[in-house]
Amino acid sequence: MPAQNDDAVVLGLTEFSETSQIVSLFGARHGRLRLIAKGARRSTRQRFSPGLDLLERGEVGFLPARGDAQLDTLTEWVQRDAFAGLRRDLLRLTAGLYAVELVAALTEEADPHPALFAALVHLLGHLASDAPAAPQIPWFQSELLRAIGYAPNLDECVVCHRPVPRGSPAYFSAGAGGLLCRDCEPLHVEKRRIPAGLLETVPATGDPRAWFELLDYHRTHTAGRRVQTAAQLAALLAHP
Amino acid sequence: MSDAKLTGPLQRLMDELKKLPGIGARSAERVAFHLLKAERDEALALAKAIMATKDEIRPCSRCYNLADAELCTICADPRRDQSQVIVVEQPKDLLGLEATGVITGVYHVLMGHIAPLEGVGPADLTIDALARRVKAGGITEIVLATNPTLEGDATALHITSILADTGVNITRLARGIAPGSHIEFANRAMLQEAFRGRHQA
Ligand SMILES: [Zn+2]
Ligand SMILES: [Zn+2]
Repeated sequence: MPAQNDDAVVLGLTEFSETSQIVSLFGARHGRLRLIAKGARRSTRQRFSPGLDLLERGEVGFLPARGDAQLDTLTEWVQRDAFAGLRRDLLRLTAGLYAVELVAALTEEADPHPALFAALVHLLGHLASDAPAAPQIPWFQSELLRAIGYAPNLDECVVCHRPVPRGSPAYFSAGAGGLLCRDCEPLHVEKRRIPAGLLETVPATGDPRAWFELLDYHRTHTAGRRVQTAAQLAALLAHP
Repeated sequence: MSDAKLTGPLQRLMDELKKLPGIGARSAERVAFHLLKAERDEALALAKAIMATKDEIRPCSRCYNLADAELCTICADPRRDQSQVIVVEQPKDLLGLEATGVITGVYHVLMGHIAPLEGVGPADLTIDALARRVKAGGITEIVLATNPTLEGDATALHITSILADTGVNITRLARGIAPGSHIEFANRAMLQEAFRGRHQA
């Protein structure tokens, strides 16, 4: 296969040997990529333009593995945006790490998700700007759940399909896939109460912490996988 | 060398040498035969140095730099300015900064950086010990010299938040364009950093 290229965000870097590292990327057209970057560490790092750090966006060039080689080889990295602004604040930086950790955990290699890529780039750009960071976190969570097919139903009771009256206590079951009305709630063991008033808002405009916790709860129960940064992000949202 | 196994001890020596960074089968063979032919004292000096390294080197009880006593040579040096503490990720970074000859303060070695994606959190580093040093008094400036990588920045932000209410002056190493490089080849992030960090000419 000839050399490939893509628009990509760096999800992870793992030291592989004294001079090389494994670069995990999320490409707009290729989905998740795992590439070996030979000579990427120390002084030879300049080969890939300065940078190649976590959460950066750039143009990647790579050679598909041939023969016995297990990993595709990174041949070029041209930084497009380092999102430097998100490094000045712990909440912004942790939110960025949470987002890439979710993408790394919940997408498969060579499984493209162009809409999710666009959402990730939008989130990182927003976190690097001066606009408030917190509301963008649940917005990204809901975009991610939609992209991987786990979007919860927040429009009606998922059991009886009746609308859940505003102002009355509402429950949420990840296993059932969304809202439970007061009548259907007792039949479910796995559930949590939705904070009053939350359903009158949407993730991007409501209480960021309450939406974050609800959507992270849903993701943990449906898509599984422990996410290292979730607890720290919850703590930062609680005490900004 | 063919696949034929050599006599026990020599083969064992080569196998051990091959585990060292940057040493392949050929180099391991050369070093092993060199040691075999060398004077007994010369060869054993290497063995003794390895043993002393493993037995005697421990973290400095104050700064976590490598030491062969309670305190490292820097902490024990009365000429060093104990009020300025330079915070680095690892002992190798300390050596790099020491080589500049411009540092008169002392250090604090974190023994790594926060790497949430690899499960390394603040509790895995020596941040608590740094906070205790600051609270014990006598320190006026903390210079954060973590790497300008995302994880180094995350570590610096965390330390800044931990020390925020101690009143100590917290500074960060300057960053931007490397001496000897050209503006036309610098990327946007480097130029942004360089502009923000400009100083009086
Ligand atoms: Zn119902
Ligand atoms: Zn010391």
